[in-house]
Amino acid sequence: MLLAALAMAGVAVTTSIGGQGGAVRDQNVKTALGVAESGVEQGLLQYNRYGLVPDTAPCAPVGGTAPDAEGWCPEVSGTTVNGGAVSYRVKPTSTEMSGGKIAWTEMEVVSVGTLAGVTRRVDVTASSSAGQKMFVNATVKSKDGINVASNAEIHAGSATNGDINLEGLQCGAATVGVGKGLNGKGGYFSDIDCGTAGGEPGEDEIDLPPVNQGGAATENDNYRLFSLDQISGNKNTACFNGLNGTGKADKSCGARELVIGHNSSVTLGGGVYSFCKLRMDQNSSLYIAEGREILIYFDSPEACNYSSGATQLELQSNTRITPLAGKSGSAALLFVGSPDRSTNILLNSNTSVEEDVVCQQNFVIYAPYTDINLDSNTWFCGAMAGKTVNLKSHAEVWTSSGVQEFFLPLVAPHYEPTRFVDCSAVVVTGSPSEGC
Amino acid sequence: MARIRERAGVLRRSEGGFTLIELLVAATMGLVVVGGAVTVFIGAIQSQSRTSTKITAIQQGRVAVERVTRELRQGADVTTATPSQLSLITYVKQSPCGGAAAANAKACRVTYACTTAECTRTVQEPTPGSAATTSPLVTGLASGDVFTYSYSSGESQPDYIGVELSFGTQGGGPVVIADGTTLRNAGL
Repeated sequence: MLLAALAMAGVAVTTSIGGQGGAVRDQNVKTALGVAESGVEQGLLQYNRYGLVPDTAPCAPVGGTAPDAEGWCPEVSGTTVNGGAVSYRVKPTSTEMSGGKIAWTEMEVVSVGTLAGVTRRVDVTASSSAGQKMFVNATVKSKDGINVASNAEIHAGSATNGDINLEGLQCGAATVGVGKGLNGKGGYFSDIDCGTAGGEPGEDEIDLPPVNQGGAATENDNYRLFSLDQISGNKNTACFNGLNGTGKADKSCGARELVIGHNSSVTLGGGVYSFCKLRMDQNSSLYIAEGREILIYFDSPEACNYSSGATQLELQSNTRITPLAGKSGSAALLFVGSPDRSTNILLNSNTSVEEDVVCQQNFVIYAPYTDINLDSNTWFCGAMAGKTVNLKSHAEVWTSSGVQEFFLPLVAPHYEPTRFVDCSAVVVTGSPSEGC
Repeated sequence: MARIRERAGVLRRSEGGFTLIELLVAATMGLVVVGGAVTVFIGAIQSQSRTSTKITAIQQGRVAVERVTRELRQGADVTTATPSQLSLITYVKQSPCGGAAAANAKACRVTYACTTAECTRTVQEPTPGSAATTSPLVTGLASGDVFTYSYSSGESQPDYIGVELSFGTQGGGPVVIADGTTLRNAGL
């Protein structure tokens, strides 16, 4: 009997040891996963601190040799994190820009973490906005959703990761987020002339990587205001960087804030500007000098010392952003934004961005962290991408012929993760991303 | 005659036994030892049953929690978030969703529904209303309140989801297996 009791006790002890072993294994699994994720961070860090990736040597940031036939760079290993071994491989993907220039706009990182015989693999896709052709398939894009009020119209392809709430018209092929839908009583057509019923919209994931402004915050053409980029109208009502058009101190604008007072206009003739805010009062205009292709960066709310909810572009009623009459020109308004502090763009009633009714210019608003609001009777020609896009009554968005060829500026890329997959733990002998 | 007496004395010494008191004490001690052993044996048998139940619960819970947290970790968009039900878009190695196993993952809608008896897992294509495959995930729960959610300020989507499986056992408290994870694809 004593032997039986001892046997029972032995079973209990064995069970206890087994249970503790399971707990240790659970802990090792978590650590191995963390180790694998640290490999992804290492890979992204190598690229984000490298600068412009050479056209012909995309593996330079992680080793300097050419990728294999499938595009994978050599394995990087030999480091230890939290006692676990980490190794990773990177697969950069390029976009060919105009003039044959290569932009390495996307990368995939497969990382393996191993600790005490426990292996975990993760696969992360990351992208950079630098050199991306953002508006190939759709010229109205939104991360979180598109809202079209009654009598508002989009005459362009639209894409969002959220829903499209449609009370007006969506004329142009639309895609919604995976598992999302097109809701409302509005009309959906597959062509921009609203001729063919659209049926059910497609479902797809879109990627709107954040704006990388490079050194634009300090290296820009802001100095031209208002000496070379002159004011037409009342110079006392225009203000930039704390000074009005006559050079006197003016509290109506702060650092890198441009205010164009009512009935005044400013003509931009530089190449790159960096603003915190642009406010155009009633009946004011911002002209693009002939032949100019202007980039206007709007810095992050943190850099501008703005609290959450700041409006960084405000066009009051009857304002215009347009080339000089009869001339060509284009402008891209790029908003750095912030994932932590919300920002807004407000196009008030009766404003226009490119007022030529044939809509031929390349006007772009790219603001992945910013809500874009088009008030009633607003007219916009070009392409826009925002956190949300909201059209109120009688607002219209049209696409221009050339805007699909617009590339975001090629600066040193900054890759941000866009997709995470927890792969099967087994390391296969085929492609590094197999089983992910 | 003397030899006979000597012989009798030897026999008396070799036949020396226990006194009655010694016997009683020995018998009592024996009973105590045997009684203790019997008690230990019975206790061991009874606890073995409870231990076995708990081991089963722990193993079942570990597998289920590992499976759930793995899918939550890859989660992108939570559409239902209550203590007993969770629906989200995540990556599943099936093609189509709910169908045959596939080498690589694709976005699917996964729904966990829990009661005081069990949790089920339903997989379907992301589009609401699409065909679904439901299977039991874990049984023997003591509570259907399994999920907890943490939100960043102003966000409608949870950025951290806790999972707590509580199993009822015979005697003693419930066995609780808990874990949690951030959604790596949320907001990407």
